[in-house]
Amino acid sequence: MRKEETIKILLRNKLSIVGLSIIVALIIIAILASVLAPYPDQALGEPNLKERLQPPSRIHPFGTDHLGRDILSRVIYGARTSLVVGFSVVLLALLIGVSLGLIAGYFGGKVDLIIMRITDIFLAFPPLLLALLIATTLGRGMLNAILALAISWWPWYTRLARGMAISVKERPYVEASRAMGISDWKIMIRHVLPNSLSPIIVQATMDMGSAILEAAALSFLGLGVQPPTPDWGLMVSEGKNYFLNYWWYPVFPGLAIFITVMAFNLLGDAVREVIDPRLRRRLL
Amino acid sequence: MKKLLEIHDLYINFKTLWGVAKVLNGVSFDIKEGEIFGLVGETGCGKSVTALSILRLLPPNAEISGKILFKGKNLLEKSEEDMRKIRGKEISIIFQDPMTSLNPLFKVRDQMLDIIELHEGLSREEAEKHAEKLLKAVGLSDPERILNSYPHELSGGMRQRIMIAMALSSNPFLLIADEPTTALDVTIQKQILELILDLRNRYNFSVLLITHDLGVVAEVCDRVGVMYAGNIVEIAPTEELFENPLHPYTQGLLSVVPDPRTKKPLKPLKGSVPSLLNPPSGCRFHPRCIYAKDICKRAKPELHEHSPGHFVACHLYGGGNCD
Amino acid sequence: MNILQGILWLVTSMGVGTVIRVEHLKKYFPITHGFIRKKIIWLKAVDDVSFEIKDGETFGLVGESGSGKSTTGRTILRLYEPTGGKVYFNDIEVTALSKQELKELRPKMQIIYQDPYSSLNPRLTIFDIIAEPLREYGHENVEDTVLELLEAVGLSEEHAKKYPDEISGGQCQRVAIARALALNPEFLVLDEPTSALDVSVQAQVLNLLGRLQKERNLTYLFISHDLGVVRYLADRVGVMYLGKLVEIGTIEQVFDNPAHPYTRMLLSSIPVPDPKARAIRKEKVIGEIPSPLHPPSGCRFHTRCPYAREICRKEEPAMIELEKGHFVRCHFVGELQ
Ligand SMILES: Nc1ncnc2c1ncn2[C@@H]1O[C@H](COP(=O)(O)OP(=O)(O)OP(=O)(O)O)[C@@H](O)[C@H]1O
Ligand SMILES: Nc1ncnc2c1ncn2[C@@H]1O[C@H](COP(=O)(O)OP(=O)(O)OP(=O)(O)O)[C@@H](O)[C@H]1O
Ligand code: SF4
Ligand SMILES: [Mg+2]
Ligand SMILES: [Mg+2]
Repeated sequence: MRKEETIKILLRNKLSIVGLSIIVALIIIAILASVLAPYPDQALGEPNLKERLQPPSRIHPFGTDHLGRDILSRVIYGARTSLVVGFSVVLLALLIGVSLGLIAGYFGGKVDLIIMRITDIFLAFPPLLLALLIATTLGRGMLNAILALAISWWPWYTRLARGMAISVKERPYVEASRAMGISDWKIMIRHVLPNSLSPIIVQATMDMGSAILEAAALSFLGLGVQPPTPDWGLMVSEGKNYFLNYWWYPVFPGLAIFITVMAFNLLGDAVREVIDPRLRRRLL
Repeated sequence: MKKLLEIHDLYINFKTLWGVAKVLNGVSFDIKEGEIFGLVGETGCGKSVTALSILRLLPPNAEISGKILFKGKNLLEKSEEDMRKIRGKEISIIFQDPMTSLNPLFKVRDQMLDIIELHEGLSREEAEKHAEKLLKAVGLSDPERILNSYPHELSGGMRQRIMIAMALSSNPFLLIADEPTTALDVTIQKQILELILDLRNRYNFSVLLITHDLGVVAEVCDRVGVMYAGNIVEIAPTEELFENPLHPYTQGLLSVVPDPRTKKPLKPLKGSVPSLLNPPSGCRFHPRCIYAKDICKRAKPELHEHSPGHFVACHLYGGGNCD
Repeated sequence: MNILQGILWLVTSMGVGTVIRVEHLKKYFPITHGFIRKKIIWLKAVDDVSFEIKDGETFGLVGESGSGKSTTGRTILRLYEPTGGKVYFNDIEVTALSKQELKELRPKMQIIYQDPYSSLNPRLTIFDIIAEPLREYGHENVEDTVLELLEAVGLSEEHAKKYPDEISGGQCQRVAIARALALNPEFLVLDEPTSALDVSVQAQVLNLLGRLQKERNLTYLFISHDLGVVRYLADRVGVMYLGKLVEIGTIEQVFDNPAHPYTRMLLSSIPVPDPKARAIRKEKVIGEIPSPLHPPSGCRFHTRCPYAREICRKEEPAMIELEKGHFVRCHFVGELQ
């Protein structure tokens, strides 16, 4: 696939431009948080009790929270947490899920049976419930939240990767490599993996949004990131008690979550179009 | 014989992301009543596009100019409403893959009767009788069982016979068969080709038979048009074309078809089919032609009658818009 | 017995000159039926097939879709494990090799597929595709060898950097051939190598295959349903019907003097690129190929055979040698002549 084509297709779809721009903006915000945030110290947790629960104003565009901290600054810093958590969860889950799925699909037989049994056990639980259980067991904290989410998540990728591996391993170029005596592991890495990735990447892109949402949910329930770390889920959780009188407190971090999740979904759709040759042809 | 279909100077462009594909580049030919006209050419030369343009079934990104006269009336000027009355009734089409043309979810009965009722205005019972008669006519001896089957329960040959039966249900004047046997085995192909010949002799409709197989052409067609990269380069009665091919592409094509009766050497054409996004100037065949002259790069040769009934578009034979 | 005779005996008994020997090869696929109580039916894709391919020869395998041609080719290479029977490559029993031994033999036997695009990994460049086998076996000078191979199949250096979807089908097939040749094989299975190509390109590839065979002394198993192409390339040919070989012989024996009723039907079904030959196709074509899951009893062809009699429904005919090298599986060979 040529690069200009990819770019052309991405740019054809207005919504995908929106998604892509939001995510690029988020990444820039996360990287430059310390420069962009008006009150970096408050963002990191320093209380400012003089200005508690101020409504949005020129100095505090998103208002302040119950400890008087600038919500805008905390939302900006929260992008860091969210992206790091979302990215780590998806990456970790991909690593486990895709390896197991490829092995199961490519080798088949008993290996497949065992891996899929284990996968099925995990899939029997509703994902968030499982993550909750694991997070409770592991204890609070960002790292444990990431682990818990990744562990509840990988089986989905195993399924997807297994299905792809089963179909890719039937392609003649895989058989041709077998006929040349290329070892199974090399075939898996050079041929099966790259040609299985497309739908997995689409899924993973969309899942970034969901991972951020679920991480927020864990924080909301007090199981994830701990105060005073700036985190959108945590902010919504703390802010919910103030919602009636101080609406800005939970609303701005909530909005941030919503926009991010949506952006990843839009981008996922666009990536699907770029990758799926059938959709590509339809665009003609 | 009267001309049933006349195509004059048909140009079709497709707008695509990567530019404009100039797919048909001034196609002209005609089909007489009761005639089997073969259209041969290699992948992508525009055979299917020609077929679809006759039925006005091209996708919306197509730009069409030229004339398609059916019984003297220009189909390109008809309303969509009028076209719907013509499609499947006066002009029918069957495609290469009989599996995808039948809906796998419905029994053959439902699909056949729907079509027959739609076109003939018959009651369900009359339609059923008609369907059974048609199935017998295409050589399916047990119509009752066929009607009660789902498509996947039938072989490729049977499905193609059903498609033919459906296409013929309204006594069309013209049957367009787009590679009707390409997906089938040779023994089944022979049966289907014989069936088309036999039905034509009985009902005297015309056939536009699209194929890439010169053997098929030799077997069943009365006249042939040879297509190359969006142009008809030669038209002649079948025997004349095989005996006395004029266009260098036709000559090349005939010398690369392996003949099962003898082991003759193959003299391959050099190169491959050009991209239609950026087709060669002048005669689109010139980069592969061993006789190409200067003029071939500059001017498009027009199709002209070289000897009675034998048309060719090539500068070697003069005529056309040669300077 | 004098020494000369002894040597001659040794040589012939060792089968020198025979590259591939297939003996009673069988490949059955399990097909499960029913949802609740799973019943396994065996699909006999290849059922007791025997033939030999001589050094430097092209053996054609013809037959209609589903007759088991590809399965035969793949089982010979042990890409499928045979259900029964033996395959010898230069007197090595391929079917008895361990995985490690098989890997050592692999370079000698290669395969080319029908669909040029799907036989190349779309995510690798042409260079990497051809280099893969060389790297696997630790060749030095990978770069030079790849360029030599490209040249041998009529491509040039500029193609090396491209991806499969940037070149034409015929060029893809040339790349597949170059990859297959990389390890200096002796034997190639060509599974319909030109069926997906346009006729003008097909001729180029056929000529290339012919040239390479001479230059490198290759032995081919050439699978095709296009009898014209088989006549062009093959020296001897086997005709398959529903997993069985029904006729074997030289091209002339089988094409000019077909003895099996199925071969005759097949030959008279091919459209001949000559309008004057229309009248010659007199053999009637009856019925369609039965499902290989439930092949007919006795002679598998009896449901479509115009000569079938009672015995054909009951007993399977044996392979009979009609004349030297011409074998036919039919109860009435003698009578039909
Ligand atoms: N909707 C479309 N948009 C853009 N290009 C198209 C479209 N439909 C067809 N084409 C192009 O038009 C050309 C002619 O296509 P067509 O299907 O008529 O070929 P054909 O002669 O029927 O070939 P084949 O033997 O493969 O069926 C091809 O190059 C094809 O890529
Ligand atoms: N992996 C498989 N699993 C189950 N059945 C198979 C498998 N491969 C082939 N078959 C079946 O075995 C039979 C022979 O198939 P094979 O592909 O060898 O036929 P072929 O002669 O090569 O046909 P074609 O001309 O269509 O390629 C067919 O009925 C096919 O459905
Ligand atoms: S054995 Fe009988 S059925 Fe089979 S081919 Fe011969 S005559 Fe026909
Ligand atoms: Mg077509
Ligand atoms: Mg096959």
